[in-house]
Amino acid sequence: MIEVGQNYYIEMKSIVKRFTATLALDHVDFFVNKGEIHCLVGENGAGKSTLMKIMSGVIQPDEGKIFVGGTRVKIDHPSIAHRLSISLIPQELNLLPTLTVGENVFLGLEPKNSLGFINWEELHRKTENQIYQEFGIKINSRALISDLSVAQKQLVMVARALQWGSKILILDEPTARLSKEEIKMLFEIVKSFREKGGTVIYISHHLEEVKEIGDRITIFRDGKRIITEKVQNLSLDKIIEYMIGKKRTTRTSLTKLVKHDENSKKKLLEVRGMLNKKVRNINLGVYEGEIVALAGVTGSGRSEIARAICGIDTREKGEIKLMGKKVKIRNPVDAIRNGIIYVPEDRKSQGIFLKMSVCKNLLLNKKTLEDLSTLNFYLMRVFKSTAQKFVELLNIVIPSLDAPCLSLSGGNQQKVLLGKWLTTNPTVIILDEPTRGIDVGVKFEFYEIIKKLAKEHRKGIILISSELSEIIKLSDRILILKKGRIVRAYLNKNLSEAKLLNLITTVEVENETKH
Amino acid sequence: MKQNIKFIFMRLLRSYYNIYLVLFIIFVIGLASHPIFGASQNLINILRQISILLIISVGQNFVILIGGIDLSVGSVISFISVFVVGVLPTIGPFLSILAGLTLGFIIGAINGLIIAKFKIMPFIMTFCSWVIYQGLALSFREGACMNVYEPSYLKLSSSYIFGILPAPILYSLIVFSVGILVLSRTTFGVRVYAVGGNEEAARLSGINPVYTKIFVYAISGFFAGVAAVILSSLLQIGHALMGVGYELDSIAAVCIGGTPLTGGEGSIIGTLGGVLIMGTIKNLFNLHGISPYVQQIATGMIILIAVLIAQKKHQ
Repeated sequence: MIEVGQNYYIEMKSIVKRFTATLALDHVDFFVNKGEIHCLVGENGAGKSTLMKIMSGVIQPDEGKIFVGGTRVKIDHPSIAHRLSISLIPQELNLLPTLTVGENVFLGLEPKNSLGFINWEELHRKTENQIYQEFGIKINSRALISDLSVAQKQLVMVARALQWGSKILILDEPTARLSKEEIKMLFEIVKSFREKGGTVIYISHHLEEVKEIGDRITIFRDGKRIITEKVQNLSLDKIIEYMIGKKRTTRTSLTKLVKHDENSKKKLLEVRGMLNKKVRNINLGVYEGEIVALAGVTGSGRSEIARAICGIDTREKGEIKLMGKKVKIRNPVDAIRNGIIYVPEDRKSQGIFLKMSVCKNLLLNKKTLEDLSTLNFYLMRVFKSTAQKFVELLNIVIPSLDAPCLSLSGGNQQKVLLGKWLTTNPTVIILDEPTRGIDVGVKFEFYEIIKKLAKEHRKGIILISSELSEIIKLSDRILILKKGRIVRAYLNKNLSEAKLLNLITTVEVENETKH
Repeated sequence: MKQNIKFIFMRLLRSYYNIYLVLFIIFVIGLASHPIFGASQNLINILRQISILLIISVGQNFVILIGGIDLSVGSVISFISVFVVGVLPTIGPFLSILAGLTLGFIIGAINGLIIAKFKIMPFIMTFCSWVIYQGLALSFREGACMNVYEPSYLKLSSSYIFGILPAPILYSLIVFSVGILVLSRTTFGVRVYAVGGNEEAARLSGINPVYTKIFVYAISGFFAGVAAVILSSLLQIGHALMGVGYELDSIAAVCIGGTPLTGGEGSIIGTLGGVLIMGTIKNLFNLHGISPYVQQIATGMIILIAVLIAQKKHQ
């Protein structure tokens, strides 16, 4: 595929990157032509974001060479990427929200007047003219970034990159939070950038977008580059096949909408018509001993549904029934009291108390603390013996119960987090990305634990995961999410990873469906 | 049991090694440089001088553990001292002390309520309180110094325990012990560390950060009230500038003691070390007759060095 001697604009040769135990990039070659829109696809953790972080100087490769325009370069800092005219536009747009559009575009490059002060008139005029000329879009340069829509912010990011003289734009999942019209606008921007000789690297989960906008495509799997090809030469099915690896084309029982035999099992949780800013009209039920997976791309509202159920985010409408009885859940305390618990996805910021001991972390929730104390006083002995029970139950490897969680590995921290919630003896457990950032061995231990909780302890489990193999392996039922709605529901029978990927990336939002 | 005690002792020694090492060095310098420094009377003197700061610092320690700061304690001491001494002749010692402590608790709770409910920066809120209560203290009898004549009130701090230990030392040790007990043996203590360490995680765990914060600031206000009563009894006056400087001294003591201003870790045992370091330095300077101006320069530098050393405990 890669012809020797052909002159590519960017050449990344034999890039290797290791993160402690895992090989994130395994001798990856990546070549980009000048003036093309080059799409990068792959499952979560396939290595595409890592490669782009290397290209933009955010992280450094362990091995490999990078050439830009034929000369060998070493990009060991983002400022060097800037100098090479490479701009990364990340998912979380790093604009300064309290400043105006013009100030953001010209940050650090403000036009000065003869006295050396900033020439505000010129700055705003230049900003507006530039954006209008380049993209044909009118924007008020004096507007605050915080007042703009996501698409407008992306526009400002692109304008800023142009102001820096960028010739290579890296867009990471740019459409995750955009509406249809906004996506159209973004595509126009990207295309007009290409017309002017710019090069775009486009990372996306939405394959139909890739088909629409891409010139060439590179597919990643498990830290390896699988193929680079012209987009028109690959069908959607072919792309998915390369992403997943094994060719699985089972199509049985896919269109079968789930009908539960309501009498056979106890319905633990029922959510009706739940609505807030992030999720639309959610109806779902969880039965005893059942694992229900919420599948969808980033920004499809997976965590938001969980947060709304547990009263972490407010609900505008909707009722929640627990074992047939209507319950009021206005905040996390209500949820815990009623036996619905949410194990959050971001361990470090929402879950673990890093500086506190394993023992206290395992018991640190309102219910357990109250159960184990009288008038606020507790006995260290009681605390330790309870914590010890869960350490053994979950097989957590710790130096001692007094050790701070900081000293544990990611997998063990995750176990502590799960253990803390199990101490409340919950009825319904919502697991948000339970195996993110932990090594493979512990991952399989987690699968066993999750299965055991459902099948032996008869808990109802809602599993949120970006890893499709995990969903296929664990869940009984799969709900497909798109833009804050549940659009389809399937029983997990003969469902292949490829089909699931196809579903979450291509299914369009339909009218109201019941689940 | 014996092993257990030895284990706990070793752990404490490891955690607070640096702080107490600094104290030890200052102590050795003191012993070597001045003959009176090591005399038991002088050591008791140091303990009495630091007793007020220790009480304030325990409250300040709670506040800093949740990632806050209480700049108002100094002027709250002034205000409550003026208030208690002012009402003393009318309602008697028992009721006036009770009123003073309650007032401290309420002042702190209001600080906490506004900080937690309206998401005001603790620095701004307690700075405003600082100014407000200083103004209130000064406007009470226009800042005039008021003498205490009530003998039972004076006896509060002038009496000796076992004929040797001045009462203020005992009070400060009680406050110190209560602080340790609450932080290490109650679920409230666990919540304080949790809110300071990771507020969002605490919220998701069903812990209400608002209540925790209100109560923590109330504790700080309450201990400021305790300090006001002891201080006015010790000095036999109520005065509108009595507490000036305690807010910064207590923050310094907590920081020397190894509690970072970001909260979530640290303990009152470290803070005791911080208070002892500050008290010992001051005593030593006074023994040597060093001018107060030079004292300030040196104190600032020694606190800086002490914090630098205390920070190393993580490595």
